[in-house]
Amino acid sequence: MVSPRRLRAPLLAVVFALLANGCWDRVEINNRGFVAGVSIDTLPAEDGTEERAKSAAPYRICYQIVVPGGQSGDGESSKGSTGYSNLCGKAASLSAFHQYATDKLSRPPFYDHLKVILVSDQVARKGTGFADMLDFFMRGAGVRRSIKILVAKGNASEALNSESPNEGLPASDIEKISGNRSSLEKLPATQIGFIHERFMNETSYAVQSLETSDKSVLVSGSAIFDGKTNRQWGALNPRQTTGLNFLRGYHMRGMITLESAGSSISLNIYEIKSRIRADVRDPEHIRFEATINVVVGIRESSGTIDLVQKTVMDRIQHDAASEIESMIEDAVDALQHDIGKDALGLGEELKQNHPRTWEKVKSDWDQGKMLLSACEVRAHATVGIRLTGTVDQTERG
Amino acid sequence: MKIFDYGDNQIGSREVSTTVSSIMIGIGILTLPSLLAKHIQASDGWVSILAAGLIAGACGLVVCRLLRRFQGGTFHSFTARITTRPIAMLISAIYGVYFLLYVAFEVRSIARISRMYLLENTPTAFIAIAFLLVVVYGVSGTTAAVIRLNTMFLPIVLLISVVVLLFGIQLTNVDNLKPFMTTRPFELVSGTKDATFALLGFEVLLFYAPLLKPAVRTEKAMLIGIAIPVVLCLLTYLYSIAIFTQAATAQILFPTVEIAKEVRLPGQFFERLESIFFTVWIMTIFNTSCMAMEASVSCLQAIASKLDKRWCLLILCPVAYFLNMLPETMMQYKMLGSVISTIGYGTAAAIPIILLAVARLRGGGSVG
Repeated sequence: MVSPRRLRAPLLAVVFALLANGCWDRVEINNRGFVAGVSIDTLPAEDGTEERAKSAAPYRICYQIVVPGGQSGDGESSKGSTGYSNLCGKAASLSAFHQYATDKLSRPPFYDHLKVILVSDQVARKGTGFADMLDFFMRGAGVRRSIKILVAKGNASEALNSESPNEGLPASDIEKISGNRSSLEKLPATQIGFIHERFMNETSYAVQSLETSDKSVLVSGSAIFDGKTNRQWGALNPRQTTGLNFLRGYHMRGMITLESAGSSISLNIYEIKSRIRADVRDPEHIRFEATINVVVGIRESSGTIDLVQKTVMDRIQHDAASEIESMIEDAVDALQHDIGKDALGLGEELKQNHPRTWEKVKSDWDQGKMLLSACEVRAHATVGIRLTGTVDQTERG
Repeated sequence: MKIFDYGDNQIGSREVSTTVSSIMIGIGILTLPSLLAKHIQASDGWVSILAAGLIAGACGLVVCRLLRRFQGGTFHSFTARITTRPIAMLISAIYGVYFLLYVAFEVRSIARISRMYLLENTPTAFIAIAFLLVVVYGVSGTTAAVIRLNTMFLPIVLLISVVVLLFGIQLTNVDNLKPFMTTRPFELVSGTKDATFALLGFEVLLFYAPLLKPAVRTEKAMLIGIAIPVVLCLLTYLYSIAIFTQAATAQILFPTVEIAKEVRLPGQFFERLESIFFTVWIMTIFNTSCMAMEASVSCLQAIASKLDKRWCLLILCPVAYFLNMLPETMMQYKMLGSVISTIGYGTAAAIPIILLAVARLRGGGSVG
């Protein structure tokens, strides 16, 4: 016979075990609506009567919600088999849309596994839409600072409906494309943490951009934002974006094609090293000297050139260097004069290495007196060919 | 409840080091980078942290000098011997209140962080009481048990911190640390004030005097114990600036937690390192709270010598809970923090220095 005294401890343990189960925060995993991607658009401009409604709910937001494969089979909706479902609606803010989504879905939205946020350039170019929309995600504790942000040309929600041959979810398709570093025509993925840092430092920046056509996405080029207003001021085309990649020495790989030694040559870029030096003797006219070292391999050549000859190699190296310099010039020219925002990192260079000069010029850098446009940027590239592929010549000359 | 009796109820120099480190590594390190980044340019805060570390080291040595004069007695009997009984009572009361506030602050902080990152819907009050009850349970055993827990937890804490920092290297951008030395000296001094708060608590060793083995070289052990948190503070600060830049670090509430969130280990399983980081951090805050509670209990026992330890705990636990729930808003919570750090200057620096001076003048309790 066990005495009641001795039973007390196990009894207490059982009571605590029961109490511990009644946690406030217990949510079963199959009660969470995993949001994989978010797109933010403006409402399409319609007739005058819609104008008033526009001020109340100016955004069209879409959530891409993951539908677990196992449970979709017996559902009545055939869409379940695609593995996701998109919920779209009008809302004044993301919190308002969160409410709406909670009313629409049996599983409330859960953002810990969010992969990409797509913001339409129509939102980004107007007012404070871009910063306002990202605030919701920056404050959320479960949301990572490494979520990728892309600016969509035109309609952002179309990208969430794109079809991918490889991935079940359009959102993870976009995330993987955005994250690969094998093309120079796009920037390294723009993460929400990076954007928060730009917001706080008030430096202008470039964001990856995305385009959807025929249900297929293309990530290339970049959108340029002003650091003060966080509004999009312009865009760089793929060639200018390549120049920006070279100038800033981003760790990207990719191909460039150029005419040299009488044929068309494609170079595989393995490594980019960039170093910018500033000459600040005249704050009104700062001169930047950029030295870019590029390591390449020859990937493709047309015609019959002999890659073993030193003169041919020197010729290609020289031509490649001037092609890279011209790409950089394109980017610098566009940013200095057409867009007038410093996404080149020149201001940061001054801030880090010439803090006194920066204090003097920062209020007139890419606004006010526009000292950015007055400064001079000279790029000097050197190209070294390391590999010529597995064969010397592919056809006899 | 039966209490386990240790055969060896004394602590050596390794336990001294881990005790000092464990109590210093607490909430402070989580918020320190953002406090410093608020007014110190780029990465110049390392000067402040180092200066705070040196000050802590100097005060630590004063504490060690005092310990040598105890002659095996407790802190309270020592103060009574070199001053008068009423003054000794007053000093014990100050330490008692201070450590109780310290417990309250740690408990409130852990409740806040848990609520923010882990348990969104659980009331703060409930998280706090659950945590506090575990602390009370930990303290109600022998003092040596708490110290042994330190020696067990600290290596785990350091290991996880090293893993986080090691895998965080890929996120850092060294250019963010530039420009060097552009902050005005006055700002650096006020940064030192911020940093000292993260480094308070080493004076707890005063209350462990009777347990010390006679042959222990406390000075060296104390300095090692202080050096570990200082290095950890320095590294987390530099990492935050290098990863998030100064301007963004200033806006992030808990930069250290955000670093842990960003770090990704290869392989999907360990992608969410912050869950391990949280577990470990709750462990170290548990240690900190236990030791502070222990010290507070010891002070109460000195004032009301007839009470036994259990009764002291029963009295102090509700008071600690009440203090912990007092701040309602963020501002009041921060005020509690600054009140504690202000008293902390007294308990960690002023009182030990004065006591040492008095002991020297009177020549009482000197061992030569």
